[in-house]
Amino acid sequence: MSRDRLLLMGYLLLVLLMTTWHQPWLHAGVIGGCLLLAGDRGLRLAGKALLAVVLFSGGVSLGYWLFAWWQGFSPWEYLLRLNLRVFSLTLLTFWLMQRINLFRALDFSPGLSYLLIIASGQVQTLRGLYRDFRLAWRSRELNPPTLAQQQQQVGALGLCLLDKSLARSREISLAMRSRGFFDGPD
Amino acid sequence: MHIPDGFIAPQVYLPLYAVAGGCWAYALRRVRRVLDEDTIPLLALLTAFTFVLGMVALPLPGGTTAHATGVALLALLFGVWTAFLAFSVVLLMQALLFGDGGITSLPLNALAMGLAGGAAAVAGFRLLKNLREKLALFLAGWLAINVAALLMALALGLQPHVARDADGVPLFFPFGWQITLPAVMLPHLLVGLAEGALTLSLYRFAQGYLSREP
Repeated sequence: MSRDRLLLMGYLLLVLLMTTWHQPWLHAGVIGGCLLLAGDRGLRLAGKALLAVVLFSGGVSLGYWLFAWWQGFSPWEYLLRLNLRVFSLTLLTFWLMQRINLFRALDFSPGLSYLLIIASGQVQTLRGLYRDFRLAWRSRELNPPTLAQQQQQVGALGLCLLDKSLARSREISLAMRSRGFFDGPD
Repeated sequence: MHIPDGFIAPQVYLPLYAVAGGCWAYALRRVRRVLDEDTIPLLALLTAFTFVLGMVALPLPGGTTAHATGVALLALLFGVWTAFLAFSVVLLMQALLFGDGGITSLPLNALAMGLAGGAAAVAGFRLLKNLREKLALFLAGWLAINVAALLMALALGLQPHVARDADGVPLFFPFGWQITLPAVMLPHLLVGLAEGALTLSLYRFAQGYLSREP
């Protein structure tokens, strides 16, 4: 079994274990461990993890805090436990995913691996095109676009994306056919 | 609408993984019958498109978020199982690479949005396509969003019933169905309109591409 697949399985087991922990200090320990092991990248990873969960966790926490205030009970035990758990799980995911090659970890199934490669390749194309479009738009317009202009922009982006990504994905499919992907069962 | 890690109890996500695992295995076997050199480019494009749509999360009252999914379009063009598999890959990438959604909420997100949403879209389209195709396409997108939202709301509202500590304090998502159903469903009645419009406008364009000679 490859190192990447072992790491992914270890990560999944740890996630399962962490969702059975209800003591905040255990999650605080995972957060501290991730930050220590990440070294110089720790703060950047923590910021990224915070950004990823702040909308959902913040919304739920605010709703629960208001509910507790209205009902007259203390929400802090729940809020501490929930937010530490959510943050520790997300930070762990970000930290470990920097060390795992997801394509290698999931190559036990050619079908899954194929979809992952295609999807990630097209996402890169899409994000690059989107960035180019946005920069091109900004370079030509001083005022923010209207809704109608934004819709036109998305339509034009979609058309451009289709043309660009077709060439790339066709290359991938032909390469896979030449290696016998479509010839036999998984 | 993606739920991060830490909100779904193991009593819920482990059985859901068992169900989703069976569905993924079945979908993997089927997908190779559908994919060929002609359909691959469009599937790849729509998968990437779905990925980007899924990354843009709008906060909703009650703490959840809303997304256009594009899953109705995938299901109508490639079938429910292919859409489910492609959408699951998108969710996996979002959870592991971008922290949008989570690995413990993956089976719920995949089954609700990818499978149930896709199946609802196809069922709605087949039901109405002979009456009026434009309406059927629009309804397919609207149904995909709202069936998924309903299942999400039910699953979230289940959490305080299955996981509480000795004092009765919830261990995971704290609100019951009386809050999750209106908080999730009401905004998605509107979000579904955008998904319906998206499905309507892109389906014909995609069909045109599929029928084009290479």
